Amino acid sequence: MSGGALPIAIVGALVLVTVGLTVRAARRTATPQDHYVAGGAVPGWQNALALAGDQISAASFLGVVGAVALGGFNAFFLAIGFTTAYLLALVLVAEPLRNLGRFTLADAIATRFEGRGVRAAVAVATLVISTIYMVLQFVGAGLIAQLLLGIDFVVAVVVMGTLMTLYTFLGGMVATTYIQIFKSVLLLTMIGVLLVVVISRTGGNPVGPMTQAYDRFGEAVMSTDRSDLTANVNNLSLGVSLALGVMGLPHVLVRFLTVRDARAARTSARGAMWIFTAFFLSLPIFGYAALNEVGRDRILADSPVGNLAGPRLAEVAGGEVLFALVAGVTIATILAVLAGLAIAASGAAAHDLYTNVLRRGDVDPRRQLRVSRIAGIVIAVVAILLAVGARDVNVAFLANVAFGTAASTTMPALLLTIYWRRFNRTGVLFAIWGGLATALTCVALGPDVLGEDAAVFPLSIPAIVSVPAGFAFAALGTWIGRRDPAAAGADYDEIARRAFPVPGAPVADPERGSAAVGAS
Amino acid sequence: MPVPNDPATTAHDAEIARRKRSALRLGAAVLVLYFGLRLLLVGTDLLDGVVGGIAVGWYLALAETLLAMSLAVVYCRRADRRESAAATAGADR
Repeated sequence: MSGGALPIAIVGALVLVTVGLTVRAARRTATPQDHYVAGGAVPGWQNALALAGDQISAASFLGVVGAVALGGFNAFFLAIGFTTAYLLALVLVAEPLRNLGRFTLADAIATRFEGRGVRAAVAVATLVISTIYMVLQFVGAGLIAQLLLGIDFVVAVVVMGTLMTLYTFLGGMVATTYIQIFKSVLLLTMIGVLLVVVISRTGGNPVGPMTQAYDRFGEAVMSTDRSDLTANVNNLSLGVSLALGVMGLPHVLVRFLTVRDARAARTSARGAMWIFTAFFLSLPIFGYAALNEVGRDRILADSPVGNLAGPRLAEVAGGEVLFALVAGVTIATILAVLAGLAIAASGAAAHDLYTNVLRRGDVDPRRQLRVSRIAGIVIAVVAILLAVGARDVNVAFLANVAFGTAASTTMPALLLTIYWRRFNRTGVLFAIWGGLATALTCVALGPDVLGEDAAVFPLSIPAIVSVPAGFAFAALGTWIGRRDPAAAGADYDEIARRAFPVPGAPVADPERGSAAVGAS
Repeated sequence: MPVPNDPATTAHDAEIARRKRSALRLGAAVLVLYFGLRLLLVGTDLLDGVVGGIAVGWYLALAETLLAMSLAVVYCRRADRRESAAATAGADR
């Protein structure tokens, strides 16, 4: 299965296309605004494809198909929920974030709570979340390249890291957007082709693989296993992580800053949701098809968590060409996600930490752009080194840590900045640092780090504890800082008028002078 | 610049309050449905069973996804209409 010339040729061709897109994008990247948010002029439908590209990763395709193939209905908790998570993002944060933010997530929060402490806290949380997410993509890419293409893990990770750096160094957010759009179209095409091939083998019945699995394996593949209390609580914690983590993931939130107005932000989220709906509803069908056609023993022989069930299904159902297509698109998918992460992380390092925290905003745009590019290289090197050291770490575990940390830190800070009048600067700092400490402590004391027997915290996924803790810290900090006038931040009514503008109504807007007319 | 007690500013603030209330209510309702389904699945056998060779839970997964999509479409349409109406009213003023 591994090391075929065709998959390598397809990956090579896709990489060439992405490099070509980057060169083209480089001509449009001259200012920090171009670099961080593609000039804030990405059309809504294009941003929808790019937003979907940020979320539908190779980990989703490989992980969910494998989980359904090996766990049957128990994979429900992993497969279902992204559309709902984006509905929450659309309704609660997309428009206000678009209206308050400029380049980064910290910009949006600092609009109300300006200050180096708040910026530093949000930037550190962004860096932690993005680096964990980057490491998991690198580890996944290395393992996939090793298994599917026969390329050494370290070589694959270094090549991926170099390409990611090239994309963001030269083309910034413009290149990332082009590549995400290209990747989304490719991935959807691949899913469509695989779906047609798979269901044609069950008489054209779209749910044929599911009913066939029930006929062959019985109720075990169609029922919830409730025998383990810890697994049940972990599933609920996974639900918390998925539903709320999206609203805190910096590389996803930054996408809402790349569009012209609130209407385009809504179009982006809604369009991405259509793509998730098609994508995630197909995955259980592929999972059951893999169980039927590839077989449990063969899936387990490839990977104990079933990560190669999807490519194996493509090989069995469509031969070497379909397998090569799936392998190539999977690698391209990871590259695109990495580019998005690199932009969010370098923005936090260069725009928030360097420009606003260290230099107090006294940096000319050209220097800021240069620092951002250098930060991108440094972050890539750190992530590559971490990934090489973490090659044996469970990828799904890292994904849960990233989502859980986002849901416990940046999500409560952003949500309360937008909606809670009494929220204050101390509350933001408590939410970020308290949520971060709780999430990381739960992970450090959990079974994935200490082992099942020695674990002090029994759950793999911390969100069910760390998210309420993040909100509790926010409330505690707000109470502690309630009498400090310096902690109050900007006038909440002014912030709300900017976050929820009405066309034609007057809005104070420091970015555009002292006054502006609301245009949403 | 917004002027306190100015009718336009007051109307805007009332609109903000209404939009925040509506977003938070919709978000809360979505979370109740989302976690309600998951709690029923992990804590009870109420949703166990197979219909037509497919677990009832998978039908509910489809329903949850389509409901979320429908709510998104309705939300966006209403928001687009509201903005267009406000823009027209602003131009008339």
